[in-house]
Amino acid sequence: MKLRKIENIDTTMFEQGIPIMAQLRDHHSTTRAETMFYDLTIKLCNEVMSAVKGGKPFVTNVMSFPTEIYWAMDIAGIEYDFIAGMFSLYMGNKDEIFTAAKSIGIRPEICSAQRAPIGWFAKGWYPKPTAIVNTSLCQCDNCAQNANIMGALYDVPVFCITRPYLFWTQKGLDFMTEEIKDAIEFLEKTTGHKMNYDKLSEATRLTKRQMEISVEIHNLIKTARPCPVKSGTGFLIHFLRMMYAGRQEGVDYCQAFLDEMKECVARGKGYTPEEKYRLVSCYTFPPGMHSLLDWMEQQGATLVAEPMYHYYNEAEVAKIDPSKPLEALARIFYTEPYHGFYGPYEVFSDMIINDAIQCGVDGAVNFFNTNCRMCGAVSRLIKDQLRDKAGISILTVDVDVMENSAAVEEELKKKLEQFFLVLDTAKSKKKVA
Amino acid sequence: MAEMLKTMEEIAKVNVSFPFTEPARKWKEQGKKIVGWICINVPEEVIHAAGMMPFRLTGGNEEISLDLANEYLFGGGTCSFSRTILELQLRGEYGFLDCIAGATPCEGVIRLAEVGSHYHNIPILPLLDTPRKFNDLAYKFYHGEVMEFKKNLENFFGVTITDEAIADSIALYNKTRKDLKKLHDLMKSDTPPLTGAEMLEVLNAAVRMPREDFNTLLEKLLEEIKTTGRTIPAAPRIMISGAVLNTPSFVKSVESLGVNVVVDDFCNGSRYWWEQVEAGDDPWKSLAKRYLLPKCSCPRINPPQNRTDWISQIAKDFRLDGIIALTMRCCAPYILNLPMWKTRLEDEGVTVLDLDIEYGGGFSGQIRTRIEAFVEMLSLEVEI
Ligand code: SF4
Ligand code: SF4
Ligand code: SF4
Repeated sequence: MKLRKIENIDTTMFEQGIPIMAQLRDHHSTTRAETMFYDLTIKLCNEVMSAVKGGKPFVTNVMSFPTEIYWAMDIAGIEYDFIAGMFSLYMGNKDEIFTAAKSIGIRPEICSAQRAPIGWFAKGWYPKPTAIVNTSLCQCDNCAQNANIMGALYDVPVFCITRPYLFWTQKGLDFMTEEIKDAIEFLEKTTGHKMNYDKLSEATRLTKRQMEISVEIHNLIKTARPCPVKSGTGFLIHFLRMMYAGRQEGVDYCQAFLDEMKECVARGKGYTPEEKYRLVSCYTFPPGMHSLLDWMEQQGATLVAEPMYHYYNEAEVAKIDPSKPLEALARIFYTEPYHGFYGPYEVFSDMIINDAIQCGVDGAVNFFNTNCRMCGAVSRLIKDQLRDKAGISILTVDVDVMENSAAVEEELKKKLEQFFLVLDTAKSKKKVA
Repeated sequence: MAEMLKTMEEIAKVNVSFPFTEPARKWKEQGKKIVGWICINVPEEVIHAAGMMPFRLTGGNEEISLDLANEYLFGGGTCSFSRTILELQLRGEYGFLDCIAGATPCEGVIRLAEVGSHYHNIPILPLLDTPRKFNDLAYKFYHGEVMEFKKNLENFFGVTITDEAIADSIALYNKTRKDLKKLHDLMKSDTPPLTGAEMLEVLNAAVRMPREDFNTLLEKLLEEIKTTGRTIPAAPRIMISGAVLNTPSFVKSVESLGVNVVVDDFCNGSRYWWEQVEAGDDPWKSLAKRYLLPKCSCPRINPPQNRTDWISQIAKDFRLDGIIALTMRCCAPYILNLPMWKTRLEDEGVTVLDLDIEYGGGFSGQIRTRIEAFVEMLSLEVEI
């Protein structure tokens, strides 16, 4: 096993992934926002390919890098873990990429989300970026380190933003602001493009707008009955916001998401025929399991609360000041609920508990990614806290985010069926009491 | 077979009753406090200057079942080092600690601290927030963290840590580091004075007893080596690499296959003693700098270049024939760092064996077979 520079980069596989997004749109989109999600993902992939082919800078990042920077610097960019994972999930090449990652020493204990892009680079399938940027997200060791491997495979420079553990303090904010400044300097040097700070201000204003709409979305989720959000779409809105941070398309998408919710509320209808089990999803529901979600809806189960994707703090959003774009980016980083999940355990446990209570859920599901060092590691703690502080039962299952086989789906259905029985019993006990 | 050194017997005795070692017991009998620490980013000097005994949290001399810990810390994503410590905490074996100090180096340690604080009753001080890089910004940030740590300790125990006390503690700990370096310099000889297993006994004892007493033992050991001229016969020279290892029996088994383990890069080994706290106007700033380990980085640090250079330098200084890289399951920092230096070292002519282990794990048949084959290969290379 040797980590050597990849000499032959062939993007055919990447390009073949793009039309698959269109197929997904055609087969699985039942809402306007979903259609937009796939269309915008396709657009971004095309931007990347035209930059690569046209000799324009292209930067790739791990989740949660402040991509407003790309827009303001006129750089094409995409998140490597998202796109490699999405493509492999639907292209059926998981074994190949994981074998390639293993061949350079990346063991299966590294979660599949972060092994997938390493595999894509090791195969030489990923378009060659001008630079790679990643973030520690404070705790996820995989996010903090994997870019080094990819940088070595393609011989491209890497920069990592370190995020403090206590991220919301002034000290944490100041540190992040400086880190973002360093990241911009790095990108200016490696891409030759200069930062346009006016454009960056505008980008932070647009992200703030996305967040304001997202606050409205969350407020509606809390109050509307039945739930006006389609289960599992939290994952989509989150990734779209990340990919289109600081861009008008991102705002339009969020607005479409909200408008559709409002339409649902006006019709007095949700996506589940009869809402029997309102659930909070503690982590990411296994992506790609569309038929499982459909089945759950038929059973009357809805993922009403997805705190990781919807739990915005309105007061913190209000503090984002586009006239100070660097600090605004640091604040955006901290205000994004997804990032709260990568901080001290109490922060995200409180988010889950509060969201569960505010959304009036009957139970919780924690489908955490197998080998996840974050949510998975503390799944017992989450379970105990939900029971003690909110009196809520939880189903905890580790399932690989890149595993959507029929067998796994059947297994999950069985577990969910048993869990629904537990919830039924709890409900009837409550009635008697 | 080299004769046993008398001082080594005394040192090994310290580790026998781990975790509540004999010296720790005596310390407590005097009514004094012990602060457990996790991870080498925690400046022990601050604890010492507060009048307490720093005690490193690790596993013991053998692998233990992790049934309790697995209940609370999911094994699929968390290393067995963290889970071993949690297991000992939950069993009450660390009950002699007055509190725990930790840092945020990696997720394993963070989750250990978070889960631990909910399920056992040893108070945990706020964690020192440890940046994953070393530059001016990180250094400034960490200085703030070290100052916070001082304040937290002072408040928790109702004591004051003076600048004089911290300067004295730094001098004391620098003396340890200097003498451990001296000891390791002797390992550069073709016929080193200690086995690798003995060296690990020394390193284990260092963090499980009052520092003044350890320094005395270390001086005595150096003196005894000098007077007896004790040597270990020449054999292929290897380094054991990994995140952390505390079981001398494992090293002994490796050496029984015909190699000398002359150095390591563990956080309880070389990374523990490699860098001095440099003298400066402000001892707190010097501490902050040293405890980010700019010269001998952990696998968690970005960019990884420093660490690669450091390992390459060790290989040259200690004239290594090979490296056994012990990769602990789920230790993401190490797993993702190893490929970064392995190829470079191999290109420089050092054979690297990549071995999966669990923390504290024994010398299984499979491990033996792989190391045997590795040693055979090295022996051939050494002969050529
Ligand atoms: S799944 Fe867990 S381990 Fe993997 S990238 Fe996400 S947080 Fe990190
Ligand atoms: S290798 Fe570094 S991060 Fe890991 S336990 Fe040791 S000191 Fe801590
Ligand atoms: S560095 Fe590795 S062994 Fe040490 S605590 Fe972190 S994950 Fe565990």
